[in-house]
Amino acid sequence: MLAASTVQAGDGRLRATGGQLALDGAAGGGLAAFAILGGYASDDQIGFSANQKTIQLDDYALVSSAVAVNVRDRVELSLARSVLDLDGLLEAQDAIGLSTFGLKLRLAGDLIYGDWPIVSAGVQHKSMSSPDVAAALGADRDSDTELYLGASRLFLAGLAGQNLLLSGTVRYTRANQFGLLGFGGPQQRDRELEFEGAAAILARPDLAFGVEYRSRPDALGLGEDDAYDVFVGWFPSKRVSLLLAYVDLGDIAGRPGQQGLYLSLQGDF
Amino acid sequence: MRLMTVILLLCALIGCASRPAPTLYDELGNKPGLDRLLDALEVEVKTNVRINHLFEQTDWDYLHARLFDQICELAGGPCVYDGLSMTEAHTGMEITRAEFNWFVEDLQRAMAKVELPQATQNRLLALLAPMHGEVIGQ
Repeated sequence: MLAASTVQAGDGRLRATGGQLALDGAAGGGLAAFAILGGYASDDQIGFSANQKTIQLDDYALVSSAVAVNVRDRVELSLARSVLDLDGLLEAQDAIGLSTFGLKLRLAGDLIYGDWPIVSAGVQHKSMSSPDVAAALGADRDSDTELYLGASRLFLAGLAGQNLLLSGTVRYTRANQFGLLGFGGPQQRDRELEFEGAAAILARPDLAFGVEYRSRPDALGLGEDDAYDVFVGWFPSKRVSLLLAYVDLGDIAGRPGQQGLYLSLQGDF
Repeated sequence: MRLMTVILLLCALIGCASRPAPTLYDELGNKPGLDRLLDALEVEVKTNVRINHLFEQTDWDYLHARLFDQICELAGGPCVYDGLSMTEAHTGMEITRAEFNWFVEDLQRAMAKVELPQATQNRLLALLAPMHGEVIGQ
């Protein structure tokens, strides 16, 4: 009873159910935020996650580091710092930095148990490290705050005996390329609702594979496309996990068909 | 009589008398299979320092028999569970969500040890997951 009443390290949830810190730093898959909270903290625990990822596209490279804390599987605080290597897109700038501070709150339900899927709401404040880049690209602003609401569920034996994960999130946003190219622009001044989601199979307790989709505005009028990926996640323990994906981000700032590898390594404690 | 013959002939042709689809109890290996699984589960729980203190007073022969009947009945086998309800069985234990999950992990390890196919493992977990609400925090 004593052990149960003290706060413990985060290992009270089942393996792989913390996913990874996704591109914006909130727990999810790779591109999409899920309703799950990061790491493995249960309702009497605190969990910490640290993530390092790299996306190597045809003409760009993105490197991102993220940390998150999960308090009692109720609140998730996350911080992500991304750097996009521009490969000569702008004369004045080699790279763009973006910092994202996130807060996610579990509102109801559970990923696996009970009648309701886990439902969470989140807010993310994103700010670019170099404000003049946003203006040079024609974006309205270099920082912005986004809201999202998501639901996720793992259906045990849900598809031909396999465990099926479905997740859907709506995001109120005007971010250009997740915010890396600023927020808003001549084609869209105000935030609007976009969708991001995933379908995955947990083939084993330590292995997941699936697809993700994320719709995006095109405020700059540069033909920003919806993003897709196909991923494999490996969770050899609750301490370490690896996510490998093939992503298609479409046209980015006039350079067509940007595809490439997404590699993400995470530690959870 | 003529009608009976026709029906029997039709059945022979289209297979009315074909064996019923295997139940999850069959997938688990019937009595020997489920006994093996519960023995493996006992080993996992007893060696799991996170939760074995919850089983200090446990009579494992009794628990094995109750779990057997319960899983057998849920899995479509020829058993009737007449033990306590899950809420009654866990009253006063104040099982946490984490402890429930650690037990699930022991079950996952046990199922892997007796080499149940993944789909069978998933189906058994799906059958037991609804007990979560009756076990936690009682």
